[in-house]
Amino acid sequence: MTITRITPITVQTLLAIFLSSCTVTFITGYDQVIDNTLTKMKSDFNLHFIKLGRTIQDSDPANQKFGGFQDYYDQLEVDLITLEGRARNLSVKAAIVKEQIHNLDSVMHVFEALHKAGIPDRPGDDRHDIRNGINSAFDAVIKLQEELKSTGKIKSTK
Amino acid sequence: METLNYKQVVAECLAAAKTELGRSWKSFKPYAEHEFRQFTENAEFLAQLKLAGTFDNDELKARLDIQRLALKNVLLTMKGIGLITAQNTVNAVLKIVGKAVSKALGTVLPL
Repeated sequence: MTITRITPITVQTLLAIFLSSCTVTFITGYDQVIDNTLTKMKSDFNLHFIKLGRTIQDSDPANQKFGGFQDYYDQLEVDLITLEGRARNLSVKAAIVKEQIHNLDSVMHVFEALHKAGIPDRPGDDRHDIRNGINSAFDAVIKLQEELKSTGKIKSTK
Repeated sequence: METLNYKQVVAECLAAAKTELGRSWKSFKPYAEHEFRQFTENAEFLAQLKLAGTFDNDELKARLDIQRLALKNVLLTMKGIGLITAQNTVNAVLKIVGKAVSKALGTVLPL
């Protein structure tokens, strides 16, 4: 019977080989399409909100009606579908990014429902809380994408 | 075979961790401060409008929902930055220890 002796040198060699090939991955989720789509969506939203904001500060109670802004909401739906599709294909370690995309989808649908229900002219209420909240929701996902792209870049995504 | 200089390895690991945590905190602090201040201001604005009877409960609920979901995303980003920091710190430490062990063995490993 052959007995292989495990010497301290063997252990150190194995340890060195192990350590040299070892990197840990706690989080992934950078996706260029998601990153670009989010930046575009944020810009589109702010343009939309500037136009909508103008209509709720004037004396015309009808010019802010949902129907007048249908194009924006159609494009929004397309962009949300793109985001959901890309998020679905991310690895299991991208759970945070997936949850953020899901939250963003909910935020935008709450906003759409608010507009559908009617946004009346109202002095003293410029709805800046809505603009700030939605921008924060976008910025949060964009910031994490930037962090994942720069400092969290790793070789393996699975 | 060289002996491992444990003191030096530990010092290098600590320096790497400090650098990673410092970098993360530098990016994290102004972002967190800005977002938390803004959410507080938004909540105060909504409370004032509600007290003045400006809108009904349905509208208040919808506008608070936007704040709640946005805050959730902000907190998820903070959690993500924390994980990235931990990931980068662990990998930096593994690299330092791996190099030190290789050096002690007198071998050149593909680090």
